[in-house]
This record gives sequence, structure tokens and C-alpha cells, in this order.
Amino acid sequence: MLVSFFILFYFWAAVSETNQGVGSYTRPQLYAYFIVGYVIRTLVFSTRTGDIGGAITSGDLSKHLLRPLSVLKFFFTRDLVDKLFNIFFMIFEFAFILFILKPQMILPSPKNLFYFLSLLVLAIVIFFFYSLVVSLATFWTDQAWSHRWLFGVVLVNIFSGQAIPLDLLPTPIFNILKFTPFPYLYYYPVKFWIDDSLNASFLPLFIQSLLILLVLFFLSRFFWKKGLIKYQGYGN
Amino acid sequence: MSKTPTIQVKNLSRHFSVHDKKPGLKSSITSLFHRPKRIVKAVNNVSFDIKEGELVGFIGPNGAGKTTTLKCLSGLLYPTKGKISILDFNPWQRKKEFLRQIGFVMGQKNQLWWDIPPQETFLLNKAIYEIDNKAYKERLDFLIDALDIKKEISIQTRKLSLGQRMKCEFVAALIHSPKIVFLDEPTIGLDVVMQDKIRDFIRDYNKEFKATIILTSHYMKDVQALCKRLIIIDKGKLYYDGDISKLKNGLTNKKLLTLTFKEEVSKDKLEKFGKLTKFEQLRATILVDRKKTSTIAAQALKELPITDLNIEDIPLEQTIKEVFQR
Repeated sequence: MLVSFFILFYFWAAVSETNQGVGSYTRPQLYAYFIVGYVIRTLVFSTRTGDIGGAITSGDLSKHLLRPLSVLKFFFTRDLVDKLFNIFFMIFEFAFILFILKPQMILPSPKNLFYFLSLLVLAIVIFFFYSLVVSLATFWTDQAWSHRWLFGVVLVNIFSGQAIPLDLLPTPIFNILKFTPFPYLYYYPVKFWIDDSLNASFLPLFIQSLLILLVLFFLSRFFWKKGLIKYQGYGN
Repeated sequence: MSKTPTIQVKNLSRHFSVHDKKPGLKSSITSLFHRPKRIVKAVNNVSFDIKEGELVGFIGPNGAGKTTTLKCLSGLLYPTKGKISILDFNPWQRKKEFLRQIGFVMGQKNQLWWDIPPQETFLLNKAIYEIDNKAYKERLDFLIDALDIKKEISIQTRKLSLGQRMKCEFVAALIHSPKIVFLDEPTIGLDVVMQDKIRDFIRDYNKEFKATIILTSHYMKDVQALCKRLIIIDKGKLYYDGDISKLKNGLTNKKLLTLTFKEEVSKDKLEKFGKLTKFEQLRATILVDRKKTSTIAAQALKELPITDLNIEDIPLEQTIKEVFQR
């Protein structure tokens, strides 16, 4: 992840060199977009929900189903514990990035920091349920990785704003993306860190995030219930 | 023993849909657009009851539907048809109260956490099953003593031998004192000594805790040593449900007569007594009608130079083989 970060960072540094910025972004804003984004990528996109797809195809899900506990809560807890580990390592990585790049960073106001953290927490939960839904589709596809690669990695990487700030995309595409979970995973949280002009729209965006979370939550429950009926418990 | 069945299975069916695919690139491409599907009836209209404390052998050839039945009983699989009631629960609903009362040991599936020592899995199970400290310690001490695995439980699971791991699987599956235990080929791949130890443990466990146990195994010795009652399933259908002894009498009306001779005897002379199943220089085994055994034995003693004669039942393994070949 560190390597891909440096590739992206230097790419956008080169692109913004001539005009000291790109679109509405100044260079310090662009730097912050990707450096703060590194934190988001570490916390939001690190998930073990992919294991569920593997467990469905291998039949290892059986060992979880036999225990008197909620399998989905178990995976959610495991994700949170994983993220705690990630925070520990991220501190060193982040210090390394700041030490190497010594960038001009934009620091948010306390209000914007609060907005950022609120959307970050929501992004973590949204991505858990999004990734869960993608994994649970394995009940029907019989193999775990191809749809996960497309929906869990490729589309997320492109449309969450990890590689390109979404407002640099053509407006119709950006408008369509607002109805998907993707911008709420990366673009909006980081946007509130670097830009306070969006502050007035925090509440509507927060509510939209909650709605997307609710849809994904109920979708995951539906997939889980229907999927268990399809479950074949392979591998003896 | 209670008279009310602990496990009630009525007209249980579980069908799977499978896709057929021919080998090769061409058929791989074709199968992207069209994949012929067929339904496999893994379990087909099976019914039986099991009472509290019973230890029942559940046997059948590969693909007979044994494991699928156990998976339906434990709530892992959703039955296509039929009803299951275990301790008055519908297993499929996977209620916590139900799951707390069952244990499942799968001989070919690891339930221990691979990267940590078994004792850590036991502790995790203690938390999951909400076992209090005193009960946990007593239970763990009992299982460790009975299975003789004091040293193994602190070694990383992946580094244990198959036998050691299987013993630890038993501890993990039984630490919460389940009333119903499903054992799916628990002795598979184990050496003879280890098989004996596991059998002794299962027998003692059943007696001591009055647990209801269903055991599937490919080793007839397991079933013979442990179970009075046998359920035979083949191609998803129930073939036999009853006492092992009755199975021998009911399904085969033959006995084995083993004769040892002073001097060589020709095949022709032996074949008139029954079906010759084994013929060596001074030894032969003949399959004879059960009812005529004593008459035939007396006749053979009279006509042949016999030094030793032995009459025995057909081994269960052979009986089962005959059943499946019919």
C-alpha cells in the first residue's frame, strides 16, 4: 500500500507542478488529499470480510455456524480488532511518509476534524457491509474471488476517489456516483479535511451516508438469510 | 433412558443441484453460456428416531448421504423436504439454546484455529459457550486425562500430528458438555492404536454423560465396537435401521465354515458343501446356509481329513459389502 501511495502522490505532484494545482485543488490540498487518504485507506479498506467468501466455497463456514454466536458480528468484531492492529503500524508508516515528503499539509479546524472523523467512522461501517454483501454473493456464484476482485477492489479503487478526486471527473458521472456507496468511503471524508466550503452540506451528506449504510445492512441480512438456504457446506 | 426420541427425523430430503461440464477449452467457453444442471438427491425421504443416550452407527458407502444427513441434523444445511426435531428444536433455525447442546467432530475438517495452540481455541469456546471457570476447569481436566493430551494442548495446532489434532478436536467439540454429539468419521486416517483410543473414549463418554451420539465411519470396527444400533443409508435412501446382530441375521442367512486339513483336499470335494470363498493347500473357507451349518459341519467332519473346524458369523464388513452390492 505504501508503494501505491508514493506512485499516486508523485503522479499528482507532477500533474500539479505547472499550475500549482489541478482543477479547484491547490497543491497543499492535493497533498493532503492523498496523505490523509492514506489513513482512510488503512482504516476503511482493510477488511477480512473476503474470508467469508473463501469460507463459503471451502465449507469452513460450517465451523462458525455450529457455534452459538452471530457469525456476522464475529466477523465485524474481527475487522475492528484488525483495524486496531493497523492503526499501530499506520502510525509508523504515516511518520515515515511525513518524514520523507515533508509536505505542506492542510490541517482542519476542530469542526472539520469532527466532520472528517464522523464520516470516517461511517465509511468504515459502510465498507464492512458493502464488502460483506460482495462476499455473500459467493453463495450463488460458487467461487469467491472474481466478483470480489471486480466489486470489492477495482470499482472501489476507481470510484471511491482513491486515485482521482471525484469532482475532477465529468459532472454527470460524479452525480451518478453520489447514489452509490463509493464516494462515502474515501472522497467525502477526506474532502471535509481539506476543504471547509462543503461544511454546509455535512448534514445531508451524513444522512445520505446513513441511508446507504442502512440499505447495505438490510441487503447483507437478506443475502445472509437467503444464502444460508443455498449453502452446501462443501468439503465434507 | 427417556422413551421420548431426542432426535426425530421425518421424510428428510436434501437435494443439490450440480453442473456437468465436459473437459477442454471449448466446453469451458460453452459453459459460460449454457451449463447443464442436474439434481442430486443426496438424502431422499429418510426417517428415523433416536432416543436419549443412544449411540447409533450411521454407515454407507461414499456419497451415500451420511454427512449430508448429519449436516441437516446440526442445522448446517437447509432440508429440501421433511422435518427434523432435535431436543424440540428445529436445527435449521440455529437457535443459541440448540447450538449450545450439540457438538460436531468432523474427521476431515479442522475446527480448531490453525495458527494458535488448541488450549487457546478451548478458551475461545469457553467464552462462546459461556462456561463458568469451575465447570470449564473440571471439564477440561476430564477431557485432557481421558484423551491423554496434556502436553499437546500448548503446541500450535498446525504442528500437531493428525491423531493429536483429532483428540484436541474432541476436546473443542465437547468442552461445553453437549447432549447431542455428531461424529463424522472421527477415526479416519488414524493408526490402529489411535483408533482404539478414540473408540474407548467415545464409549466411556457415552456411558458417563449419557450423551446421544451419532457416529459415521468407514471402519466397521468403530461401529461394531461402539454401537448396538445401526442405520444404513445408500444412495440417499435408508436401507436398514436396527440392531447390528439382527442385521447379520436379517440380511444374510449364511455362516462361514473354516476347515484345516491333515492332507490336501481337492476343490471339487469342498464345493459340494457350499460356496468356496478361500482355498489354500491345507485350509479352506466355505460359505454355508445358516440353518444347515451343523449338518454340513458334521458331514464335512465325517468325509474330510479335518484337524480343526471353526464356525463363525460373516464379518459385518462383508455383510455390508453384500448389502451394497445387491
